[in-house]
Amino acid sequence: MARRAASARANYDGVALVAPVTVPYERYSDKSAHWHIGKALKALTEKTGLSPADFDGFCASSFTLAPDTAVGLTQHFALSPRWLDWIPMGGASGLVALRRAARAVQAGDAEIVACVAGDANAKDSFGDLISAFSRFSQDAAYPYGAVGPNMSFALLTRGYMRKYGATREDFGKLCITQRENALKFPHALMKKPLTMEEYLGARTIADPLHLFDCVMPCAGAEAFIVMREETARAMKLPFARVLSAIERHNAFPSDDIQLRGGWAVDKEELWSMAGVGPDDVDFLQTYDDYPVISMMQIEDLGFCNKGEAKDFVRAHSLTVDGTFPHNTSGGQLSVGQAGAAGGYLGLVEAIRQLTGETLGAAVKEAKIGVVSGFGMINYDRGLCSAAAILAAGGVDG
Amino acid sequence: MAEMSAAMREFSRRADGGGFQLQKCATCGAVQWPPRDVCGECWTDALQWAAVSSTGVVLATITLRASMEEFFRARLPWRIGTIRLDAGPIVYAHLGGAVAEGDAVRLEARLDFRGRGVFIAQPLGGDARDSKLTELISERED
Repeated sequence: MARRAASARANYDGVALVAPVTVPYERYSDKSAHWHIGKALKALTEKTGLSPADFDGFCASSFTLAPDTAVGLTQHFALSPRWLDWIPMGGASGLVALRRAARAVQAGDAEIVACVAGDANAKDSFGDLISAFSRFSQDAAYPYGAVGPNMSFALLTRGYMRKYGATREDFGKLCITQRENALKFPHALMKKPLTMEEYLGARTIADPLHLFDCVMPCAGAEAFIVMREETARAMKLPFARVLSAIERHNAFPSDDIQLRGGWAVDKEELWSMAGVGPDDVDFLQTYDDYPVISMMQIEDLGFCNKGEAKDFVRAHSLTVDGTFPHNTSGGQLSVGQAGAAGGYLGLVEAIRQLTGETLGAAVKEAKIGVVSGFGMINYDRGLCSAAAILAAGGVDG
Repeated sequence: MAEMSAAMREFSRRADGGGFQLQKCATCGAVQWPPRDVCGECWTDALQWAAVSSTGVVLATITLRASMEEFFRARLPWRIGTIRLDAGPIVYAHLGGAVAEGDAVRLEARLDFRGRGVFIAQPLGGDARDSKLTELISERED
């Protein structure tokens, strides 16, 4: 049967992203995912003056909420939403939440949607999470050394370095500049500068991955609100607009090693829908569970050609005040990975940058930002990729 | 026995005797891995266990220096890799001896120390199983 051409998608006009909030991360916490998500919701109300009854849409992500999902949370938090979503997509959760909530708001299915991700991290709980992460990984990946995602990412980092000639120093530059950004971000768990010597000399986790290539699992939460632009203006809330957004799952399934992600399939549409180009972008927030994934996103989103992220990284200063501000709060590599909230971190930080609500260093006159997400090593590769181009909205005076 | 899907349990049962059998779709012929309940290509449930080619090419190898299971922790460093089977799928495998990227290899299916069916990649026409790999498939935790 002939494949039909994909339909053109409608724009995201009239949608506002407001109230970027972060529940401070902790390396270990005895508090539950429910507690973290509740704290994030409370922070949304404090930031906006909205009360719990004002939320008629609710969307949640978490790895540690079992046996609950978003449904159970409605009763926990006495919400009666007319629109509800549960997004178990790890590092793509925030962007997928944005995309769905934006459509709900545009269509009138919901007026005010709270999007939240939060996770617990009790001591010694991480092993349970990764040994049963997915059926394929439980059956056919975990038995090979009981390592979790480090195994898949070591293999793809190895494949990427071999094919494109990226070096550990290139990955190191990403990690070190993110750490510089993190030193100004109050919630970052990493508080000390990182030198190239320390980066290169760190202990090996799984060749070629070393300690500072891997995120530190932690507890925490992130949230934001999606509403109509006119609502945000009426409430005098600073907001960011959505110029375009894409998601793709299980792209390029026959590639031997995952050296590209779904962004490469959809990037033309991402840029053409937004009506801007890579040169117009004031900052980029990539999903940085490992530095190689950030390099992949820089390429697959179109900031440089495939295989040339190493040259791009060498040519640019990547700090907040640099020529290409990247992961401006420090990213997960320096702030920590609070489970599914890791899939919100870059998006929440991007909203902060565009609404003038930064907690750390601000990109000067940031008008356009790109956010990218990547998630779910189901077996040998990450399945979910997503991205959005956002713009500063401002408030009417 | 370790947690696993019913299809994986069947693979493990067949691997126990040293057989190399994967699911093959009776409708479209696609060889499956990881084990499925429905063909990943044509979506029929006509999957049958069959002896298929056990050779393939090593895509990438890594050396683990940390693990969450005591068995591996006691035997680090530990080498694993991804292999593209000539029959189609990509599999993870424990690596025998000096098996390296780009090598053509032969895979064995065995039961590991927790009763999980696993692959071991061997050089074509040789047996490079070291003592650690022998322990992997001879020790039983339960």
